[in-house]
Amino acid sequence: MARRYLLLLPAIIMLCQSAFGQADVYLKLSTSERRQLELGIAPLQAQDNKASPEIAAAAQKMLDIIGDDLAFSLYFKMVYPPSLLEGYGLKKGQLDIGAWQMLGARQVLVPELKQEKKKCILSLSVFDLGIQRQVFSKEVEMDGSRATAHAASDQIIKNLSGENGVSSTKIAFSLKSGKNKELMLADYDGGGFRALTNFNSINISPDWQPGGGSLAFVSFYRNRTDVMSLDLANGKTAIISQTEGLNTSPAWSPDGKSLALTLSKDGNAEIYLMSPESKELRRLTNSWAIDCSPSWSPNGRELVFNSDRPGSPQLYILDNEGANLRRLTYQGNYNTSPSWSPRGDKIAFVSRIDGKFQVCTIDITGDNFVQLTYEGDNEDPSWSPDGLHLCFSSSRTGSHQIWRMHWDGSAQQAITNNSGSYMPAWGPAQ
Amino acid sequence: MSKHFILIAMCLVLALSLGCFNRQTVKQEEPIKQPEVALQAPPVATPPAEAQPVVPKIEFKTIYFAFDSYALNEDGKALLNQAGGLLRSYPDVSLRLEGHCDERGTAEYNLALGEKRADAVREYLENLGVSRSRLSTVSFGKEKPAATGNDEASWAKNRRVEIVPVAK
Repeated sequence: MARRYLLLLPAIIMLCQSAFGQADVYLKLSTSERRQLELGIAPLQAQDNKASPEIAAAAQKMLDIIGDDLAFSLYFKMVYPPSLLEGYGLKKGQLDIGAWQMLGARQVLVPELKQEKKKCILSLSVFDLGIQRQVFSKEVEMDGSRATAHAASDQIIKNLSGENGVSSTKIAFSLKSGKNKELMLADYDGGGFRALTNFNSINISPDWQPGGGSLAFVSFYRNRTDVMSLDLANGKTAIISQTEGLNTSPAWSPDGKSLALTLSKDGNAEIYLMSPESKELRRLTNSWAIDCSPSWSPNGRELVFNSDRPGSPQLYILDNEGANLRRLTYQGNYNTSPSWSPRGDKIAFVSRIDGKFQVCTIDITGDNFVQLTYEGDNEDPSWSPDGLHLCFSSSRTGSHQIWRMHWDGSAQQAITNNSGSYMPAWGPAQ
Repeated sequence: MSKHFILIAMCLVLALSLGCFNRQTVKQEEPIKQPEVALQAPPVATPPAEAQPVVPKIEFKTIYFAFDSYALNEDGKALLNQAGGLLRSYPDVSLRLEGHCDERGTAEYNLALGEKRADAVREYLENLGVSRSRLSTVSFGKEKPAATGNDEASWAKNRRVEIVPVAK
């Protein structure tokens, strides 16, 4: 009698799990595990064909930004018309469903330029070819601002994929200016470039405070290293660490309550946690070796950092109380500049391979050492807030510029072209 | 016996289903905030005011280092022996020991390596009898190269500690 019930038990358990398990939503790192939506973008039309060439050009510019945002997001398989003929995919202003389906599209973004009460509006509708209905519509005011285009991209991404895009995020970095370096801010695609400091000194290592309201950075303004903070809204700066010796590599904890720092006030470079209000310090490392470059896990419980205690720089992990130290990297004899992915499972870093510096990733277990770059010297990787992309500096074109790529090393592209750009930090939308 | 099994099975099923109910659904709808368009560009930060110190006019030779190393070689030690002599003749002079690295390698790691080089020079001078209070160290990592080429000749000139006299 008992045995019969035992046999039923696993069946009952499985039934319950499958009945209620549908409610779970899980995030996957690899978008090859997630189906990309085949999305086409129809050519821009003007309502009643009335639009001056200037307005049409401005609208096309916004559309180009949106198209790039959608393609880069990794949520879509972009479907492009085979020719640049005006009006492709549209029959008398109506979507030619058959033509788009032949190209493999499942949804099509249809942009239209309208005039409403003396305002120029870019109307963006998404048409689903399967159910043959409009599934999304948004009207964007043509204010010529890149920010408006990026915001529209994120709304489209959210609506079509359910995910939060990074189209409005920013990258802070250090720009060479003669013998100096000043902090700059740009959109994640390199647009909207603006200066953050004008100190006539060397300013490096920007790090975003969670929330995006300020940056911590290292300044040589007083001919020594100080860690300063810069309020992005009003440009106000303050010195937050000026201990004897090194004050470098600021790294805000994900909850914003703690700032990790490299300080050498106790004899040599060690990692400390500073409480921003009280300025109280807690020491995490204790070794004759150089310990520097901390980066927090997204849950704030651990930090990965750089130590040369084995005789050459390698990556180590410890918890936020300084305990449970373990070595992460064993391949090669120079592994530095770690950055913990916001998704928690991978760490990006720099490894010296054949005398050159390359951006690599490794799982937090220490498995899967993957080299992502192959040309020039590539340094200081920083993850996008969604953990799907990386920015870094690369010297492969002859000068150091900021580059971006996806988490797997694909789509590598420069986003700056200037006198020399270094140490990027990818931050939240502003 | 069979009663026990039924009870355990029912408890398990209950526990599992309660566990299932606790799983949270991810909210799909979230309003996206439009970023505010600033009326004017936010101000660019200007530097805090600082007084400039007066620098005494003695010169010290630069000390050089091998790649990835902060060990003093024989040339370095000889130069520092001379420096020790000079410092005895000029008791009012203090030194700022500035450590540097070549352009290769991580900026942050190089700041620490530069400091180790400056510390090595300071320790040597202290052992010669120079009071520690006259010796301060600072590291510029790879940020202030003396030579800007991308070859070993330039790199060798950048792996250095500069000895800068400062007013006491």
